[in-house]
Amino acid sequence: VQMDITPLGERLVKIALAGRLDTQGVDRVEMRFTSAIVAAGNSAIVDLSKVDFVTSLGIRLLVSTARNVKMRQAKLALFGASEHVEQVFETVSLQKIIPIFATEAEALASIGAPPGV
Amino acid sequence: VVQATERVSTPIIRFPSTLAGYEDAAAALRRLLDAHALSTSARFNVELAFEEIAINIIQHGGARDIEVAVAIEPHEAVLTFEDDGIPFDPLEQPSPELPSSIEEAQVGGLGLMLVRKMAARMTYERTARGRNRLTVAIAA
Repeated sequence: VQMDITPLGERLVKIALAGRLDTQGVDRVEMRFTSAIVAAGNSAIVDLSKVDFVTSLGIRLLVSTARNVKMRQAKLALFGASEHVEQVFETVSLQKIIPIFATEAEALASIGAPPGV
Repeated sequence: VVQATERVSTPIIRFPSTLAGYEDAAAALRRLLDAHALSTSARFNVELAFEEIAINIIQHGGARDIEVAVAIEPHEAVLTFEDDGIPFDPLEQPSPELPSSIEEAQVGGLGLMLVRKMAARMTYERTARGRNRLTVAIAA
């Protein structure tokens, strides 16, 4: 799994994940992912457009991160999931507990980022 | 050590019931799938079922070894998992409650639920040799 962090503003980052969010992928990215968002107290939008595979362990990472973000009064939104990844999300009703959008602009708007960020 | 052996033209992947064993087995599965023209969605679901079932056995089954027969046919792919762990019928497990809020979200049981929802059919038996045998068919 590749992970790129782009600061978008004060306490706001974009995290782009690429590759497979499976047992191996989560093992490799979990620490960096949670420290970039949760430990730093950031709100985040997560670009999943380059994630081509996800399993329950990947979903667990997203859910636990979203929960920790909320406890810190910050926000998290996902966007850009491919058709197959989206289907897995829908199967477990992930959209009921984490905001999921098609585009980066929608994800940004949902977490209250000012226009132009 | 993973062995992918041909037996009556159905390859079988055998591996120790450990995370390291799983990683080698997953790589062997991907090499095997590379040789077949599966649809993107069928391939996704085969790899998903392989991980969810194998990891569940490794974490909860108390098995020493796992073997998975991988039969790829024109209309479906069939994974047959066998292990020597404690008797466990995934089809008898209740589906987890889907959460309505992040605070109450439970993250256990999602893997089995995913497999049950995307499989065309699943069957379980405890074999005469005292092994778990789970068959998962996935539409091609």
